[in-house]
Amino acid sequence: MANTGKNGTRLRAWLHTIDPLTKGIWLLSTGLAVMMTMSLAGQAAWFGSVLLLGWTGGDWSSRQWKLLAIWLLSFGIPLIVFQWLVLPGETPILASLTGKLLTEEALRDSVSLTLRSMTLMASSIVYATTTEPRDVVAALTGRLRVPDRIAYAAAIALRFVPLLLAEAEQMRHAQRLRRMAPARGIGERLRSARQLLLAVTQTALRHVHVVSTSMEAKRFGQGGQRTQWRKLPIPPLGIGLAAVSIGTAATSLYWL
Amino acid sequence: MRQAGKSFIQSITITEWVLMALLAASNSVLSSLISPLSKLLTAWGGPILTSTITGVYMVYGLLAMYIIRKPGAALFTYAIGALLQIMIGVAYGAWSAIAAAACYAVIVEPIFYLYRYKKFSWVTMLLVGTLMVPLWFVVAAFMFGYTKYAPVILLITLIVRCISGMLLCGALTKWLGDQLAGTRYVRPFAIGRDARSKQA
Repeated sequence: MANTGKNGTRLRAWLHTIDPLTKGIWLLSTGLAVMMTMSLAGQAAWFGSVLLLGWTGGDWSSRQWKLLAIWLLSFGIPLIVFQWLVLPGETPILASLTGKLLTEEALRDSVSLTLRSMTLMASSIVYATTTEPRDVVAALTGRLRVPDRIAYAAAIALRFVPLLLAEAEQMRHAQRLRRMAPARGIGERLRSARQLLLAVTQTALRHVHVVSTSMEAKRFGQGGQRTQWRKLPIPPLGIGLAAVSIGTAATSLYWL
Repeated sequence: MRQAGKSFIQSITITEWVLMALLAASNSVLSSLISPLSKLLTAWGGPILTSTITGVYMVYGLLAMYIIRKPGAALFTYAIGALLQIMIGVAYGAWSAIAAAACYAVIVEPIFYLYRYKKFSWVTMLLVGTLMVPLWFVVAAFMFGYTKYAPVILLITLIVRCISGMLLCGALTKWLGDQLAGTRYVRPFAIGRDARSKQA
């Protein structure tokens, strides 16, 4: 759904233009509604609404959709089967073949619970892919008055995730090269995982001194009120989305 | 009240805030590394198999408390972790990130307050790792619909989670903390000062 304007410039899909706060209200309302609803129709409707929002406003490429579909199916189908086997029920299906093992009620509950998990996952992905992390930090400090230290700590953490991930991959690769063969057996795998965990933690700690020294040099947290260069307007579309989300969630909690 | 909250936040130094942020970041890295395994366990073994690795997700806040040894260390680390997970996307939904962080912090902070941030023995760490599990388990049972399962499955799941919390959170945090205690990386923190005073 990559949109282009008249002069060929790329237009951002509508979810990208909404601020993180009102979108956050949508995320939390959706989550609350699916967690409080047990009806299969309700779960299916919420899952459909999240996919619709992602499709119309997410600006996802076909590759991203494919990845999401693979991820959801590889997770959802085995989970439906597993829960169908273990959840209790009364009305057997194919009683002559399976006895009371597979029941209608268990199937309905299993699909419903799996849809719940998939909605939670998909809504979180929609939020994360359509929201600029720096906007979240600006919203936290500017609108919600969250203390600077907490908001900027989250920003630092976010900045370091790809860096630490790349370093962890490098360490894993180095471990493999050193052994000249992949780890075999539970003992060797556990030893390898333990070494990796220690190495990742040590790498994170090594960065602590560099970052904190530079922050202290810039007198972070020493002065008065921080000023914000980045202003975060809340568009009417965002207010509409938040209002519709709360209204739909409340209706869903009442009716479904 | 507001003033008390402010000084509570300001009692933690910049270096400690950065440490908490980096521990939250490393938790995200480890979570993403084990994410395929976690999803596989959930899909093929429901709550029981998923519970075997639950302890790993709890390490970062407890490790922050083990290193910093100040009120709020675990609370803020879990809060930063939850915020980070929401920003980058979390497989179990935003509510689970918020609720898990709150449930863990509600258990860890009072226990170490009672110990006056001085007792970090093996027994304490194993106990804390185990006690962190039940509250989040009850909340998660309602959130993900585990309440539909037979009571025996729920009981087995709780036992598996407690063992995972004890070993993969309590014991692993203690082991990691002790490995780091003598290194230069933790010199400015309480754990480093303790290690130096024991050596002297």
